[in-house]
Amino acid sequence: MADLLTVRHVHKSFAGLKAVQDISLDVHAGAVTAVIGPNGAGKTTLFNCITGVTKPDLAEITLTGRGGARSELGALDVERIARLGIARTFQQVRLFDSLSVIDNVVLGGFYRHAFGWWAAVGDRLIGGGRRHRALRAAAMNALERVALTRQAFELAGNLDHGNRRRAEIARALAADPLVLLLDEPAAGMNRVETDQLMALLRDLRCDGMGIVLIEHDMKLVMQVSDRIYVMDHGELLTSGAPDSVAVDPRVIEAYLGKAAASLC
Amino acid sequence: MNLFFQQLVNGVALGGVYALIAIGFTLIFGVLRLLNMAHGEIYMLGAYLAYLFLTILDLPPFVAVPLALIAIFAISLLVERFAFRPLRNAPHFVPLVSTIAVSTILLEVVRLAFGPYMFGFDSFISTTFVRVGTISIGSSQLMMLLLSVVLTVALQIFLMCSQWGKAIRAVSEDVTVSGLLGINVNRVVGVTFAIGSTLGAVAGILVAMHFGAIYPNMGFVALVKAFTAAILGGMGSVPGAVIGGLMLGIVESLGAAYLPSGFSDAVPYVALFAVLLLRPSGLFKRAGGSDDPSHQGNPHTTGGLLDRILPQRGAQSLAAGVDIAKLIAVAGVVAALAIAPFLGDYALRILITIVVYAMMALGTNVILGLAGQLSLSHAAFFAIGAYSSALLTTHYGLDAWSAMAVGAMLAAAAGALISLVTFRVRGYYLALVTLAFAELVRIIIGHWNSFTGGMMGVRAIPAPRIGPWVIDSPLSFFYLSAVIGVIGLAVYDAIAYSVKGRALIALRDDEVAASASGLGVQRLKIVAFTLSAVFPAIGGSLMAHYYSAITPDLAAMNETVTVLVIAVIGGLGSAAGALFGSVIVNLLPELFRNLGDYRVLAYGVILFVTVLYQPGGVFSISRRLAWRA
Ligand SMILES: Nc1ncnc2c1ncn2[C@@H]1O[C@H](COP(=O)(O)OP(=O)(O)OP(=O)(O)O)[C@@H](O)[C@H]1O
Ligand SMILES: [Mg+2]
Repeated sequence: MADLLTVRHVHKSFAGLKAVQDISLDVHAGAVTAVIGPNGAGKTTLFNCITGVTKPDLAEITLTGRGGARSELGALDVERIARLGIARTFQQVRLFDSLSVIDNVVLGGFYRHAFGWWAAVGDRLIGGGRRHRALRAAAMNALERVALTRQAFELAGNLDHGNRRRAEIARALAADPLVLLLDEPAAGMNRVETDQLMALLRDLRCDGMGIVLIEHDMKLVMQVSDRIYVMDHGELLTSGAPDSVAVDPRVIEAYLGKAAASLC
Repeated sequence: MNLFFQQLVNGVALGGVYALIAIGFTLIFGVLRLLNMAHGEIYMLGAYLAYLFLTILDLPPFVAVPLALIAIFAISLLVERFAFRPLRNAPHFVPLVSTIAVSTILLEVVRLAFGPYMFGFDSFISTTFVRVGTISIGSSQLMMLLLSVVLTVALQIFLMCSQWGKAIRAVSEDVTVSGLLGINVNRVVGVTFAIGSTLGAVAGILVAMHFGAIYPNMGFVALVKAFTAAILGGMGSVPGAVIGGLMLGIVESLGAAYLPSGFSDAVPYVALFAVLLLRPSGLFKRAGGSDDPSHQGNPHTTGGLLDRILPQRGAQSLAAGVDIAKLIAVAGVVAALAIAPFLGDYALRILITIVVYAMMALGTNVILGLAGQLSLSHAAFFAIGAYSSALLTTHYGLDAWSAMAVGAMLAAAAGALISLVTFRVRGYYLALVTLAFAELVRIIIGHWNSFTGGMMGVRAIPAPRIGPWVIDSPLSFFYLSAVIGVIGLAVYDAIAYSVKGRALIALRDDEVAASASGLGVQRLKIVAFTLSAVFPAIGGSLMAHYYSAITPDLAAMNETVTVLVIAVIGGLGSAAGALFGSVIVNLLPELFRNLGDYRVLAYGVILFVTVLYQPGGVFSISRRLAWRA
């Protein structure tokens, strides 16, 4: 398995609160890497540091691109990082609410097309929107993967919660990313939807995508992950294969408190 | 050196008053997360009410001044209750537009009641001077300084120690949690708004006394100063506002001494840009508090008026290309073209004006309707287009078409520049910065006598020619503007429906998600600003050639308000909406001809009612965008 993304020594404090402290992790192509930990452990902050949404205080994050080119992400801004092939979803779903679902997905992969202003306006003015329709047709594939084709022309702002999550995943997939970061994708989904999500994750893993998954649904995490990193209070508690993490007393303690750990 | 110290003392006294205005402004921002564009008008109203009670009703000062302040307190409570509270959960530009509406209404009411002229304001304390060495300090200056110190300290004690103060601080930290804790959020917000406004009114009275004059437009400059001081000190911070106010006062007094007169008016604006460029978060950044407007509802997803009053045809018919708004617009244009030969010059003038304003509204549509940036520089771009045409054709012998193209390019460059300068400036801030830019353009145009003709403007602008034909009759000029207008509408429509146009909407909906999706946010913004400058510039150029004489008033703020009204009423983002809004705004006053001076007031009221009850405007573009490709 090739090393896609190596994250080393990420530190981030908010006004004295150490949200992320010296976190390192590896993301491999064709593998699901899970990041778990109790509320406030710093998982989302770690994602924000990787994607540039938050500037880390200190970090060495290296992405190995398609041609084997290595890029240091630390100095880049959000959209540069995205353009290198890192796509993400947000814990609080962030869609373009006043656009249709399909246009959300079109825009998710839009940066990959050399499509300037003249071409875009010309396409509408004299081309009758042909190129836009072609982009939409391509975007349908991503919607198919999350089973959202029926809602394609609804406004994203009018979707219900589960569908919003799926639309966001479809938008991320449209970029055909090397690394996909999912922040609690199963939150608010019912069992059936979670199972569909699990199937999708397995498909994507087979395609060779590197997936990082923040998730509170332990059943899902244990079933799809290749490796699990456990965070608590900003620090890395432990990491390992699902079955070793599941029985680690420190993990149980972090989740349930000391009393529960001593009961085990 | 003597001059320097004298101006320093003057600056500190003036700075104290600026601090008072800024404190009120920043206090309101802290609690409502709202840039109150009406703050300057409240300041002005305070001075006018004091004038009313003191001079007209001849009450003694110790009755008149408190009476004026109580009146301001009450008026602010009402304003908050009816203009802002209903909009608290709307997207941030909606309440902002509402404050612009309130500001316009207050300004027009005063202008109508007292007239647009300057009044002498007699100081009610005796004018004496204290001399320290060679420096003299006037009694009004001493009073300014004393009162601002006392009020600032009193406010600080009130905020830190009283029960009310604690509630205010809690609400400014987190409205939802405060509500859960049992704080009556509505009351706290209302009272804070009223306190902030009253402080502004005190400052208005002090300034009126110091300069011995009041005039209706005094509020806008005060607003820019309050804003600059508040940003200097870090938005939302009361001590910061004090320091910011003092610094501004000093810089301005020194500027008045060492800069040529006229241009010293530009000092606050230049200071504002400097601060935003160098320290956008202020010199003393407040810990914790973020001014990023949180995720809020979007009026664009609610249908426009038309979607409500016409029977729903269902999304399918939209997909099939049936677009009622566009049909109405096309029918309207065809009808206008057909009946134009039978119309008199006056009616043709109205039609031409409709086209010009629709072009301006297209600029607003790009920047606010699509990209969601509340930029209020349209009047400046309009003036840049008009003056380029005027000066290039009269002074440099260029033909009208080249002049129009150069004007559009200059405006585009100005737009791109603004977007670069304001890249880090968001939502609320942008509105004021861009408004200040327009004001700066007006000052420059108005004072650069040798080049722009100053206040007299430019005359004898030649009519455009097409080959051997001179387009100088109203009818031919109408046809010319109609062609340009239709091209403008079509191009705008293509922009709005293009993938790039949708990328602008994505940027408006969620900038973080847009950049995390790899969309080049800065480039998109630059293009949006550039486009938003080109449309008004072409409109301005048409205007210059049609009237053949122009003045700096083209860049005045009420032009910007008018355009905002047009765009919002018509339905932000929609090409048909821009046309429709322009028809309403230009035709309504004709229907109610006896409205006369009340016209601008009527605009304010229309804007206000629209944002309160129909934020989607008449033609909403969103639903149509969902389907068409
Ligand atoms: N922008 C911010 N400013 C200040 N503090 C922050 C900010 N973002 C996160 N924090 C704090 O950092 C800590 C880690 O937060 P983070 O959201 O990363 O946790 P998390 O592991 O994702 O938790 P959850 O499971 O609840 O999503 C929390 O204490 C949070 O309050
Ligand atoms: Mg989280």
